[in-house]
Amino acid sequence: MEAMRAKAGVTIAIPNWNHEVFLPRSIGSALRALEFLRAEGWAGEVLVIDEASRDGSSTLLRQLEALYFKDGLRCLSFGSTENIATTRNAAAEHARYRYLAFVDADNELIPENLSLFVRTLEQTRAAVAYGNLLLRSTTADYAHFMHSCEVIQKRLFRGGNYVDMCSVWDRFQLLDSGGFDSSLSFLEDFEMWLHLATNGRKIVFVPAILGYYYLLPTSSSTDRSRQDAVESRLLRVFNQAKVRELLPLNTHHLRYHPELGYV
Amino acid sequence: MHPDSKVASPRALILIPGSMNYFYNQSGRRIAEALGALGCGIELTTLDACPAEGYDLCVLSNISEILHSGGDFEQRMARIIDIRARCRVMMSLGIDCVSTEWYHRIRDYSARAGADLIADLGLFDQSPFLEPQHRARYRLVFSGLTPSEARVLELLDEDDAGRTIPWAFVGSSTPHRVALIDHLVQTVDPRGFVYMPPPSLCTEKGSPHLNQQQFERVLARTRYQIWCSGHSYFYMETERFRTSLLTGGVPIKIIESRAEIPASVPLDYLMIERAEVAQRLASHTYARLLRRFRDDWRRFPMLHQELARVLGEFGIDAGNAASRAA
Repeated sequence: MEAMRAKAGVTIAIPNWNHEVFLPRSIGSALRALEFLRAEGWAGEVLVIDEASRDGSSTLLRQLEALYFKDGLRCLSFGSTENIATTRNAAAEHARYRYLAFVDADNELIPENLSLFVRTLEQTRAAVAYGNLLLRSTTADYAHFMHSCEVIQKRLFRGGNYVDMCSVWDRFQLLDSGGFDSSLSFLEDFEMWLHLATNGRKIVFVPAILGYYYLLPTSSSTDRSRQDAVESRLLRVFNQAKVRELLPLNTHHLRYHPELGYV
Repeated sequence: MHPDSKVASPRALILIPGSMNYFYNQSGRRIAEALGALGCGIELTTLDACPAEGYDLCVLSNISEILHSGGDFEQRMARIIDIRARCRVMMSLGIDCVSTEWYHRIRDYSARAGADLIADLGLFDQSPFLEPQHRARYRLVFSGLTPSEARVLELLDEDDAGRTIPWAFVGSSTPHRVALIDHLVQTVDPRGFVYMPPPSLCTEKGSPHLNQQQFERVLARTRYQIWCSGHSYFYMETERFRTSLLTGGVPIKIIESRAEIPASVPLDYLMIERAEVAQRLASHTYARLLRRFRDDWRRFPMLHQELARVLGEFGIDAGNAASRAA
């Protein structure tokens, strides 16, 4: 088992665009998560992909890489900004390991829990495992909202993405399914859930806390008008005939916990 | 009456919603088992399938859900009123906090249907929280174990080696509960089982929520079931305590202040303020809490004893039916 885990391994990918002040928290939690994974026999790395940041991210990342390279931190910098879908695809191409955790710079992992999600992929052969994400405002002591807190249901096709991108992937299935739609600069995650679901892949909910999302005043997810425009396009692609809720869905209501199996 | 004379056992009709929240179906089934232990003849069914016969007792579990589980509300109410006319006693059942609007609905619908009493299948007497005019029909039926549940309890061991999940929180998501989860992650153990979809029906099939069997599978591998109320009134969620007991774990209710616990309620050591939860759940206390919880419950009355007591007050001699059957 240990040899298989060392070979499969886990890459924690952190795309960054001008989030210098949040990087220490997200990278720190990822490095601690690697320690827990290694204790269970997994090989791993933290891969930060910087999208041409103009704030102090590049300098900070070079310093952090020098300090923590031996702990598994690698940083790649791109000279131009395309969009987050392209960056996620780049992470899938540059990752060294089979399992790929996407953690945005404004996320923080619960280090002890990442292994639950990786083991879920190992045991179920699902394409993606996701779990609860606690939402905090930057100054709050405690979270006030929970995202990604329910299973994939057919209502996903009615619009309104309720699954965050902070999740763990089988990189081979991600590449095999064509990766993220690089024509999208927004809601690339929602597009991918619909793409995977309509193509028979398994997306599994793990009932544990994967991490935190820190809500910022200028978070792109607060821009409702942009979301609505992209969402209507996606629903036209995936549910133009409005029959999805009548069709079978391979990933309907899948809950899995490594200590319990499917629940 | 001559001791050899034949007296028919009481016949009881138990109506459950069928397609709504599963825990009211479950309560109806528990009442059925307990009445069966008292020697009653039992008909457990839904309103739609209810036969047009007469009964000594009709139990509604619960009237709101029965009325809202399909079809026209007024027609369904008329059918319940019709059933009332064919029963000696109608008992409306609740497993709810009496200060909530959903209990108020049970109370109002029960009055309209002509129910003789509202049985609170609970762990403590809530009559002090009722306005005086609503106390006459209220009866606490202590939610003791049924015979099959008592057998399950006796088969449980105290070995917790298989309980690899430190705690579980299952319920609908609210901001208050989310903040509590964050606190548990930070101060107790981050590896808890957390399943909190948005509010919706907890049906036996097809709901995003866990059903009874799924929930019990989780609890069987969990040390502590933790929850807090979705409202601000004091209440002891009966089913939370019972499911923890029968799956071998320890229930912990998080409350705002221990000052809100009424005097003489049982199991008060299982209700903890948020600020003290980390210290109280330190692992060395688990075995002690588990033993005390089980020992306390073994001293509680059985459900059929409680039903016999309450029904006797309304002229249904269910306890003696069991003796005759024996």
